Order: sequence, then structure tokens, then C-alpha cells
Amino acid sequence: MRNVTLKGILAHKLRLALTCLAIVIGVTFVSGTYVLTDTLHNTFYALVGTIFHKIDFQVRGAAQFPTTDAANAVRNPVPEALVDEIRRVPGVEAADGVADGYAQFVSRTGKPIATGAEPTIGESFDPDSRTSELHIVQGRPPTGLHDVVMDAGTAKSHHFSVGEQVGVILTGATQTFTITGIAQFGTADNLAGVTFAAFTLPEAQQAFDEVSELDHINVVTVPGANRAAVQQAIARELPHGVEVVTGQTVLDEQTSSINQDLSFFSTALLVFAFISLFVGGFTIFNTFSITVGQRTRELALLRVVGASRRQVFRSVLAEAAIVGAASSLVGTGLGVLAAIGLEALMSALGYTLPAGPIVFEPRTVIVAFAVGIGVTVISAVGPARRAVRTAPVAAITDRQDARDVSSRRRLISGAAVGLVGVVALAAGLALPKVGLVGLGAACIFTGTAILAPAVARPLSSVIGRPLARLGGVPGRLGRENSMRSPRRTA
Amino acid sequence: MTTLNQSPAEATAAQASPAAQAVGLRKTYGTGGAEVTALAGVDVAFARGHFTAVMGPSGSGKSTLMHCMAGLDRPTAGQAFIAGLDIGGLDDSALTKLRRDRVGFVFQSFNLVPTLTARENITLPVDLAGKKVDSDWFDYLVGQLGIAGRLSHRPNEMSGGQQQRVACARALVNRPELIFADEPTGNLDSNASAELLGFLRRSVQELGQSIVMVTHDPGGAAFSDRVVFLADGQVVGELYQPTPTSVLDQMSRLGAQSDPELGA
Repeated sequence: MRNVTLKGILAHKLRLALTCLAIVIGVTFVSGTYVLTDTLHNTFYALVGTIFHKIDFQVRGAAQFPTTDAANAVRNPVPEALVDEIRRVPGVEAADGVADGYAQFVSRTGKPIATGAEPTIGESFDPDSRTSELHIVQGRPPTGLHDVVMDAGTAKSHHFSVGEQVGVILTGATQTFTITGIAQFGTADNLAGVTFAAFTLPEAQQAFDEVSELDHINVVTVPGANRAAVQQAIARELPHGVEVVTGQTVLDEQTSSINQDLSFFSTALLVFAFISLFVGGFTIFNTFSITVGQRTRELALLRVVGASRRQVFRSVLAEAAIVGAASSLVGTGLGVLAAIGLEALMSALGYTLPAGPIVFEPRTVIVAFAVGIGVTVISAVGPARRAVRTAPVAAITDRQDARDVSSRRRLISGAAVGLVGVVALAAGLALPKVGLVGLGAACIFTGTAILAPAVARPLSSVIGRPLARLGGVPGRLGRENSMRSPRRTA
Repeated sequence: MTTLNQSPAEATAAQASPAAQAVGLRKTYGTGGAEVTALAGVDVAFARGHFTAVMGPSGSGKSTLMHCMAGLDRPTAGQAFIAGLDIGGLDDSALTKLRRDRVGFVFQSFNLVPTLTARENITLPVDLAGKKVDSDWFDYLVGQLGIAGRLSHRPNEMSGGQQQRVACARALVNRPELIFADEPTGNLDSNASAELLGFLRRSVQELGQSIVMVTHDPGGAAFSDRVVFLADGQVVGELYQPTPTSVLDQMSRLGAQSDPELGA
């Protein structure tokens, strides 16, 4: 029986390829989504890690409002005088304050520079390499009024170099600065498209309206210090509304913020995957229904020479499983390529990403194959059950046991599923909720599929009537044909 | 469910019983006014080790009789026995095993699996049973049928005669109690027909095989030991040691009395 199945598949390579297509696309979306988001997550995590790995603690204002996104919370300012007090805490090696806000470079043609909707950040330059996340790769730190350090990404993409003048939009009018240096974050030219302008602390405080105030103080402890004790000691120095958190906390907050962004992204991609797999399942169902119909004689013959119902059933499902596995294999590979392509595309659009390896988790393969094979096999269960009902005598006669679901049952169930779909779609669009929209679309699709044969008979009778009058015999034959076997329209 | 495993007593009974037997076999299609009677109560026995031909005009029910007796179709009433076993009491899986292990089929349109080679087609019933092919028997069969050189060919690479001989080998590979052949020469030229019928004749004589063959060819029927004539779903006559002429005679006699009287 295995032989029959395998040879049957190989004998219809084109049909196989076409059947696979939708499943391949679906699996491509699944695996591509996972590979891309895993890779992005990994590189962002590494990036955030390189930025914050030096810092043991961060002193910052408490969040003004409760929030789930701690990384982007609106926080109270920290008094600048606190820096000296923290430096005096035993166990603290370095403490440096940072003021940050909005600053946007202006290109040579006078246009504000931004990558998509990514933030444009201005910050005070921290010259202390023990706490600073930035390091100058060219030129020198800002020292005076109207000095600025530019991120290497912007410098490269807009061809700025040290010593040149550049306009910067701060709160208010555009001001002209001299580029004294170009800086990188760790090894990255910029933070995934975020532009970055660094000024002297007084200039930043002026620009961001935070005179004598800071946004946070980065703290590094002496090697071997008892960090918990140091954190407690720092906490004792802090006024109300200011908190001290570990560098790990900041890192976790940043990571979870990135994950929230990525999860929206991956949800959107997975919705595409779902739609594609649904279409794929539908295609499989149709193809297998047709081939089971075409192979009635062959299946009946197998029954005649002694294939049990179970053997026939398994043969159809095995064919589906092989189709599913082949599609999953191709789809997984294509997904990796798609992820690499998308990443390259993002880089080309200016979302400069730090170099990182493509992340290919075992989970990606498992989910891709489970989904690909699962959808295919489940879609083939219906046709397989019909194959099992093939009467052995059909091998010799043309008589077939017509056991179609009755048209009335079809109408009722199709309409019901369709109606659920319309309601879910409307609710999903109104709320709006992506999941509901997907469910709605799926239900409408299924409902239509169930309804099609039931509606086809009266419809083809109506459409066929003028045709029969006009077209004579062929038209009439066609009409009778599609009335007799309405599933053909499906 | 009736099992296929027989007690010694049953086995002895089976030895004594005919290869196949129909008792009051009826088959109707459709209901009410559209009811069509294909078999109107057939009583017939096919002897063990005999080559029996079933003849009759189109619509006489000869194919239906074969389908019902071979477990391919369920009769409306009556009983069908294969080697003493009432197949009406078998469920689908027992019927499947019966067809696989104890009955062989040869059809008019060869009915080989197009994607399999001749060898794979022949061993299909054995493979489906998950058993090992008896290679001596296999070699004997393909040698006798003259298809040893064709075993790696697909059906579409073979002539009709070769395909039908492959089908014969497949029917015989499990050493069945009985072979049902439905118009086996219907698609063959006269040479290939004679060869095939000669082989069937030899398998009865030399191997003691039991064969039931539906045919409408008097020349083909003359290869058998006995011809059973069917008309309008009933047995209307029989003929032992037939010749083409005696079969034709009988047919014309039946044809003369048929339509007006029995057709009602």
C-alpha cells in the first residue's frame, strides 16, 4: 500500500506542486515570522545589552503614571546635585548624570532626518567611559556651545563628517551646530534607525529645559562591592520621587518594550500565515476531493483485490502527510530566506541593525512542520473518508453510491457558519481586534465553501436556461452536468 | 461476525461443498415504481475444480450475479456461499479478507494499478495482506503466463493481452479457492483471447483451480466444462462439455423463447 501511495504521488508531480503551493506559502510565513522575530529579538537584546552592560544601577525619577511599558514611561527629573552625593556613597566607583530629549538633525537639503517613525534622540554626552554607552569613532567629544556628536548611521547615510556644520531641530527653531565627533553604540552605527545627537551636559540641559536637572544617573560600583548594600546605601540618599534600579532592571524593561513592538509585528505576520494556511487547507481539501473522485476506479480496485478500508484511508492520509512534509520543508527554507531578505530590506531602508547571526530555533522547525503537515492531513480527512466509502463494485461498474450531504443540511450549516463569520468580522473590525477579523474571514470562507454546491444547482439552472436556449445541445449538456454534479463548481 | 478460521469439521464440509453457491439470490435496484430486478431468485452451484461459464444477453443479471457471489455487492435477499461460507454474514473487513485471500478477480478492462509495475501489480494482494510472496509460485505463474520478461513494465507499456495475463497472475498469486472472471477476453483480439482462455483451462486441469467466467462469446464459453444460461435474472438453462456450436444452438433457442414470454 505504501508503494501505491508513493508511486501515485510521483506520477502526478505537477498536481503535487500546485497542491503544495498554498501550504508552502503558509509555512513560509510561519517560519519566516519566527526566524525574523527571533533574529531581531536576539540582535536587539544584544544591542541593549551592550548599551547597558556597563551600568550597575540607574537612579531615575519614578514613573509619573502607572505603566506597563517602563522603558517609555514619563518620569520625574532627578536633581543634578544628587550626582555628587551618590559619588560619595561607599562602593560607588563612578556616577554620571544624563539629560535627554528630542533632537532631530536636518539634512543638507534642509529636510529633517528620520527613519520611518523611529525616535530622534538628543542626549548629553557622557565623557566617562566607565558609564557611557557611546564611544567616539572619529573626532572628539563636544566641549563647547554648539558642539554636537552625531551617530555614525546618520553620518554615513547623509554624508556628514567631523568639522562640518549641521542643523538640529530642538524644541523651537533649528539651530546650527558643529560636528565634533561621530559615535557608535557598541559596534552598531545606530540603534535600529534611531538617530542620535549628543551635546555637552549644560547645552543638553538648556535645550531640554532641565537646568540643574537630569533624566537619570548611571552608576558603576567598584569591583567586588556588595551590590545590594550599595543599592540600599544609594536609596537612603534619594529624595521622594526618585528611585534606584539595577542595570538588569533597565535592560529587562528595554527588552520587554522591544518585545512588545516585535510581538505586534509577528502577530501581523502570523495572521498572514493563518490566512494562507487556511487557503492551503481549502486547496488540499479540493484537490484531494477531486483526485479521490478521479481515482474512484483505482481505489475500488484496491478494495477488490483486498485493501481494507483502513488501508485506503491511511493511503490517502499518507499522501497528504507526504505533501504536507514536502511543503513544510520547502516553506521552512523559504521562510529563512524571506527573513534574511526582509532584514536586508530593512537595512536598505535605513533601519540599520547591528550585525547578528540568523536565529533558527528548533521551535521554528517544529511549529512549521506541525502546522504544515497538520493542516494538510486534517484537510484530507474528509476526502479520505469519502475514498473509504468507495464501493469495490465501482471498479467494474460506473455505478457510484451517491452519499452527498443533503442540500438542505448544506444550506443550513453553510449559512450558519457564514453568519458567524459575518458577525465575527464586523465585531473584529469595530473593536478592532485582529484575531476576530481573521476568525470572521475564515468562517465566511468556510461557509461559502459549504454553500457553493447547494447554491450551484438552482444557480446553474437559472444561468443555464438562457444558455440552453442559445447554445443548443452543448449548453444544455453543460447545464445538466453541473446540475447533476453540483460539487464540480466547488 | 463469522470468522474465516474454520474448525476441522467445517473444513471437511468446505471440501465437500461447491466452490461457490447461490441460494434464492435476489437483487433489486431502486424502489417503488423505479424498481429494477437484476436477479430474480437465482439458485446455482459452481463445482470445485470446474471451469464454469455464465452466459446471457445484456441485462440478464450475469454480472450482478458474479458481484453478489464474490462479495463485491450485497444481495437484496438470498444467500451466497464461497466454499461453504455464507458471505452474507461477513462484515466489511471479513469480506475484504475474503476477496484478498480466497478469491481472485479478472476483469474485462484489466484493472491494473497504472502506477505500479507488472510485478508490483501481481504481488499487490500479498503485499496488502502484509505477507511474503511465495517466490516459487510467483515464478511458476509468470513462466506459465509468459510475462517473465515484462515484470518491470507499467501497464501502459504492455499490450492488452499482456495486461490481462498480469491480471491473471494477480488473481492466482494468493492461491484462491475460486476465480471470478468478468468478460476477461472482452477487450482482447482473438489470438490473445485464445491464449488467455487456454491458460485458464490449463489452470483448472493441472492445478485444480475453480473458475467462474461471465462471457457472451460462445467460442470462449466452449473452453469451459459447463455453461449456465441466465435471462431476466433467472437461470434458464445449462450445458455440459460445450462446443461453440452447441452454445450457439442453446442461445438461439433461449433467444427465441425469451423476450415475449419471460420479458414481462
